[in-house]
Amino acid sequence: MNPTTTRRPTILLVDDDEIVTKAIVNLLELETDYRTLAFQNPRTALESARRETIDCVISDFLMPDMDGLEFLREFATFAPDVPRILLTGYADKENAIAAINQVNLYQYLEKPWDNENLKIVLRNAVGQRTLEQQLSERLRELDLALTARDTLQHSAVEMERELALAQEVQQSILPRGLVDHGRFRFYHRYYPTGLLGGDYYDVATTGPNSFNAIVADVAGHGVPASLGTMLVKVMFWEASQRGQTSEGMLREMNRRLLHFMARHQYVTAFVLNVDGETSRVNGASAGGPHPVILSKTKLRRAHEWRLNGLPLGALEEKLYSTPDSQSITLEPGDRILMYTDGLLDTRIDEGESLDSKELLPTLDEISGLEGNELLDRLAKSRGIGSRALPDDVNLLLIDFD
Amino acid sequence: MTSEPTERAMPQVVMIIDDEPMVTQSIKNFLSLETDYEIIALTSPMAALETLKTRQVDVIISDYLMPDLNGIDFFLKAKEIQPQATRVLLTGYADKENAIKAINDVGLYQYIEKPWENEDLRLVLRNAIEKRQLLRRLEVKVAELDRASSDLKGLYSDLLKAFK
Repeated sequence: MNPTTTRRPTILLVDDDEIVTKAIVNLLELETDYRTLAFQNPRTALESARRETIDCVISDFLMPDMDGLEFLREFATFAPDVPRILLTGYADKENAIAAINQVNLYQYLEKPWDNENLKIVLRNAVGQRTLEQQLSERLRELDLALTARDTLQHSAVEMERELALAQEVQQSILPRGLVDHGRFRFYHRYYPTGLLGGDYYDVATTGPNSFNAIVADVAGHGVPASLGTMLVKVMFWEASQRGQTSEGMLREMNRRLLHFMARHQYVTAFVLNVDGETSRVNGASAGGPHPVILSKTKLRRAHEWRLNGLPLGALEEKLYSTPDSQSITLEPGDRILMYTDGLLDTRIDEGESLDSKELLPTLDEISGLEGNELLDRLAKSRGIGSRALPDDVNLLLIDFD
Repeated sequence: MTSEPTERAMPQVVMIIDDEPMVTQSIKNFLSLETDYEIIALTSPMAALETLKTRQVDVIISDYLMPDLNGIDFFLKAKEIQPQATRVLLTGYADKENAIKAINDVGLYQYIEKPWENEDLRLVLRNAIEKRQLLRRLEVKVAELDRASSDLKGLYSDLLKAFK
């Protein structure tokens, strides 16, 4: 972890008396694991010291060339954090003590020194230095961690703000409210999971009694899926303005989504062209869930409008075959239910989902209810509101009078 | 020696025990003059043990040769009551060997041979106290580091969730 903890501590020793240096070096080599650098000349010692990592320095006081205090002061200029120990003789003790504060000694030892005492003092000095180094390390680490945390917190706040904005934008993509149009009435429910998703539904009027409707799902979650819905919206509206047919719209969307979306992204959808004058509905599928027609006059009230179609943005144009489309005639009182496949998910871990035909019995039961009530009952039958949802759920009901 | 100013909420408390009142008085006087430590001077190791049960001290200096209880045995008991206090033994030349043998048992910070040098005593105390302060600060920083680390982990997982 920290290289200095495995390195042998290095003691720098300076005394002009060879007997002293030999004795101390022997003691330390025999009885400790310190590495000792011993010098009789303080100037040579200083030169060597600059090139080494020293953990403690011991110096004699009385030396011919340079006295111990001067040496230690010099040493302190380039290694201020290394503990300094002075060896004093009995005679010069007073002088030494008087000058001690000039150098800020860790401790002084009187000659003749006691071997045990010397070892203890060194142990404490080296230990102190290790402690100080550890503290510096921790302070540094703490600084880094706190800075990282603050940065992350800022980022988190920023991101929350951006996500909130993104959700606002996503909401604004969805129709604010669907106004009754001609002979048609619209009902809608949206059950969000609270995360950004890829659901999209819309109604675009194309005439006084006609409109296009779409329910789509961009694969995935989060920001990429959300961005996908914006693309789909723009294309839907633009194509609607041009009076494009359902399958024409899907073909165009496929071409453009191949261009604009990431490779792994795709969109499932179901599109309706509805003409109130002729009571005709033209539908086309891009692999979206099958809408359910609730018919007043037919014997079996609820039946699926099953069309085949490939998801958009997955296959290049030459492989993408024209989606199935079909025109049906509506009778007054007919109702079309479109929905995103979140309605079919059965469990939070998205392990299973229903086949859409399993919705039919419930829809039969509630097919006569008023629009809002129908949707509420449908949602309740799927446990929506009483369990966590794996995916957003959008329900769109179109009533034909 | 430390680059940061030492934080001191309370004065350091030093306890001195020596059966000779001259010794305790002399040390107390010297330290009161030269330092701002709070000094508790006692001549009975038994009384010292009682005091340790109620008052927290930072450093304990004790003589070795005392009638009721020798310094080493005293420190062994003191260590049980306040293990974190630093222990310094005053020894005579004769009983130094005993002191040395018991150093590791007792966990002595250092021993000082009589007659001691006041300056020496001052330095030893200063270093002992600084060591304890360093250890305390280290503890605090490690705890802060722990907290910051868990904050970080929490933040990371929150962020990841939003982008799943």
